[in-house]
Amino acid sequence: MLGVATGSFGESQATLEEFVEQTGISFPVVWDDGTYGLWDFPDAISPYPRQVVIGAGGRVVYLASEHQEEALDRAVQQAL
Amino acid sequence: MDARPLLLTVLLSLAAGCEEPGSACADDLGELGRAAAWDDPVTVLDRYDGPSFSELADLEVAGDTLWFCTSVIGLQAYDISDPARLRKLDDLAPSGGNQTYPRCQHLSVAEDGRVYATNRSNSISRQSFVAVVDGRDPENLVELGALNTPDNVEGSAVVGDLLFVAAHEDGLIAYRRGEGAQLTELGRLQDGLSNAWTVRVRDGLAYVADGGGGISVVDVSDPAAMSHITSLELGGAVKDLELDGDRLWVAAGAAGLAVVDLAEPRAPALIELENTPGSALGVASGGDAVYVADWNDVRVFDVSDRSDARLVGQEPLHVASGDSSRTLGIAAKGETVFSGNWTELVAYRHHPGVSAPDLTVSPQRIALPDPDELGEARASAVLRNVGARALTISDLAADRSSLSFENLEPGTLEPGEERTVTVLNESSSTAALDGWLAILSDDPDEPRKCLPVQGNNSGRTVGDSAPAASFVDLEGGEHRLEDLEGSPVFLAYFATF
Repeated sequence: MLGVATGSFGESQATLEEFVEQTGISFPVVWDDGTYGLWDFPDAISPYPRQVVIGAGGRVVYLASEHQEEALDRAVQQAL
Repeated sequence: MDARPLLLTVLLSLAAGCEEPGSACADDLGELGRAAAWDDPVTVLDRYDGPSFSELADLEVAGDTLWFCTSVIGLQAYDISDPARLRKLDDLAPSGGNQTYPRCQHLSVAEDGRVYATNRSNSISRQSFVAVVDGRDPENLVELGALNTPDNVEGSAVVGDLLFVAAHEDGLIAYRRGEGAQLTELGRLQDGLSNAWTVRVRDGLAYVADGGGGISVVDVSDPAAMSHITSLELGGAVKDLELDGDRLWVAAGAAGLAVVDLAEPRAPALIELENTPGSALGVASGGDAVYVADWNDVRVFDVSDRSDARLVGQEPLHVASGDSSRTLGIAAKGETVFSGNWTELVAYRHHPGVSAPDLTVSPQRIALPDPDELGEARASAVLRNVGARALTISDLAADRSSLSFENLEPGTLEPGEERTVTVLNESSSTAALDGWLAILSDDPDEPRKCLPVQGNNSGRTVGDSAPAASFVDLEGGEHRLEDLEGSPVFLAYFATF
């Protein structure tokens, strides 16, 4: 799992480090260096969040523009 | 492509309406509009285009001032003495919010001029607060102070010296309003409530918009000992409601607009559910009408028969091709209606008694699959006449010869009638397609209804192989998707605001 952070909207290294510390995130947080546009995300309300699940075989199994817990759970279970 | 220009493009095009450079398919209100046989039941008076508003949520009218919350700027006050010329008076970033994005989700205006602006916490922003603002001079807003709270505060209501706050899973909280910003908790209630979004209070009874729990009625005659009386589930997530005499108008999410009888105030009874195509998020009333913020549009229901809400008009969002926005909040002063969406404040006028045909198309843009071996790509769309008069489709148009409606001819759609049509593109080209179809009709609102059509999208979709991509983490380490092959990967794109 990678948390992919936007480089826009005034986000900075300091903001992100503080955020990671506050939230106790243990997975790697990386910068989005132009990968957002690689995916054909479905119709969205806002630019974030976006979620991508890729199966072990390298195929995209899930793309979502909002956090939908049950659907995401199913996709992750399926990918595992 | 760098993320920054991409996101800026998203925001700018959200604000740009349908008039893209090079696109001839504007929702033309020129000669066609003037030639339309019908007057429009709902007309736009003004749009205040604030690309940086972002999430213009709760709105409230107090006299000639419109108050509203936006995520990005905070609390806003606008002069609406002439609703055709919306004018900003002042804004205020609550001190309890995020430095970059102050946040403000809901507000209540007290008769003494104090404004209570709330912000809920969520998985990203953990700063919950109730900011108290001196709004007596809306041209010079002053924050008096803020209550920072662990409770997940959302909508609120002021009754005399009491402030009731709906706080999601934390229930309903009653505060005494003291001097200035002072708020003293008197009591709280969680039992019987499920997910409190906002609240309205009358005669010692609180009506809670209780999410999936529907409407909950709470006895608040003693704020220190509030008790749950009953709940009425409506089949959708209730996020807003409005008290109006013996009626409670309810925005019931996916279930639409609910008309609820309050003849027995402690036992609300459902009269009818008017389903809506979007998600009913906000509701307001004025004159003999009820106005609903319904995700993709603003809907006007005639309620002169208070047991039968009748759709008389809708005003769609004007959304640029490929992007989306959402109508989130609504307020009304008589026949003048104000709504907020992702980027705009819009003022409308409802013209009671006027009826017309009204065409809607769902979805609002067409995404075609890749062409098949015959070089054809198809997608379906549903046309509906949601107006009160028959709709006459006079002509169809497209920006290229390969694009057409496969099974639609000029003709008539009766009130309430819907028709599923197929959009066809006949081309084996794999180049990205960004075109449009247009439906010309006697809908006074949109005599030339634009339907953006896109195809051969270069982005990866479900079923495609993952592209090559690399990421740099906060410590400078590189992560490449290719290196992770053989393991499932979950990418969560996020922002901290």
